[in-house]
Amino acid sequence: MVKINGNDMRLFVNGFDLSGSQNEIDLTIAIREVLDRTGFDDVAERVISGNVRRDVLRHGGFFDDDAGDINDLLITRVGTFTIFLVSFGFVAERHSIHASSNLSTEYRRTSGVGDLVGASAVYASSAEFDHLAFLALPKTTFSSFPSLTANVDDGAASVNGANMVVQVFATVGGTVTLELRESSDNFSGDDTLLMSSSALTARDAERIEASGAVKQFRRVNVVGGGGLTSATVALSFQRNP
Amino acid sequence: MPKIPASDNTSVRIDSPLNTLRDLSCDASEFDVSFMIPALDVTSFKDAAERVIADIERHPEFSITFFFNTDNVLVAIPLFSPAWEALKTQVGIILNVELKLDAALNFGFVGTALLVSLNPGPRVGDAITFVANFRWDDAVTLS
Repeated sequence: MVKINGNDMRLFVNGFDLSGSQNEIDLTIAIREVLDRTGFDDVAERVISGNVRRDVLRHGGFFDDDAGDINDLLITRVGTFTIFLVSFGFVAERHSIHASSNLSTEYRRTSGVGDLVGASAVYASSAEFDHLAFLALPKTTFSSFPSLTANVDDGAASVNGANMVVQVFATVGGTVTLELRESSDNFSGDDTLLMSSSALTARDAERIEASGAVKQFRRVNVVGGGGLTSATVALSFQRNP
Repeated sequence: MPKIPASDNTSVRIDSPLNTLRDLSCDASEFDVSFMIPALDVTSFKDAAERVIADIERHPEFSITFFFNTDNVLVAIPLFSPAWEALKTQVGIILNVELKLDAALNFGFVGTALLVSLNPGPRVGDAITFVANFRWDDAVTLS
């Protein structure tokens, strides 16, 4: 079994790739309350879940005021919602966690003599993180459209819908649309659209949901519009449990 | 007297989902667990010294640290099972948990516990790990 080096993490927020400046991530997937249900008859404490989730993302690292890095992203976003994608590795089908409706609550910058200037951020969720996801499309630059990724076999179809987060880092000349396509026969005859992003441009991110049945096989189709000549994008996909 | 090092006899087994026992020992690197019966203060005005009686078992939250790995499929017992795959759908669920300091000598803690949170904490320069935090529900068997 293969353990993973922390250097291989990737952190994308609203079309910004923060992987080059941030060096630590703290994710919390948690229930908000543990309820005590101990009765007179019990010989030990009894507990049960409060069933409301409270998920949190924190990340920290170096301050960087380049366009496309943490300062450029967060100086105007504290108090607004963001869309993030964290992947445990940078190749296709690594585990990932993504979410929208994350309120950026804090952007901290620190400095001290002899130290690099630090920067960190905290986000509070108003919806559960999608923590059962996989990196269906690692950060990739495309220059011809449409472009299809390799077919992926998830082993079985599912019935509870799916969702995806799309991150668009750069576009030249037009807009990019990411389609999640599904098939029951590994695309040898069946090829249908499960869900699609909007037409997006640089520094855009979007979360899209699909309900109902999801077929066994999937792939991503990167579609250009309006004279697009280049697009750098990433996509994380989750089948809902 | 022989001491016991943390070794390949230290085991972490969790039913995930419930009644599907998985050996997560190959991913686990650390656990921190206490068995506690708090003392209740029953000191009254006439007492010359503090008086206590035993409460019921009330254990603090405990944690298990796992490595995160690239496997995304579950492998049946008795082989190893990737811990993230086993636990990621179980937050808020009460599971059977078996922590053995030495499985061969059968020293450990066995009981049911609520999975309260999963906390991945990747750092540059370290292998990625995550902490699973649990709260015991009902009596724990200490052996």
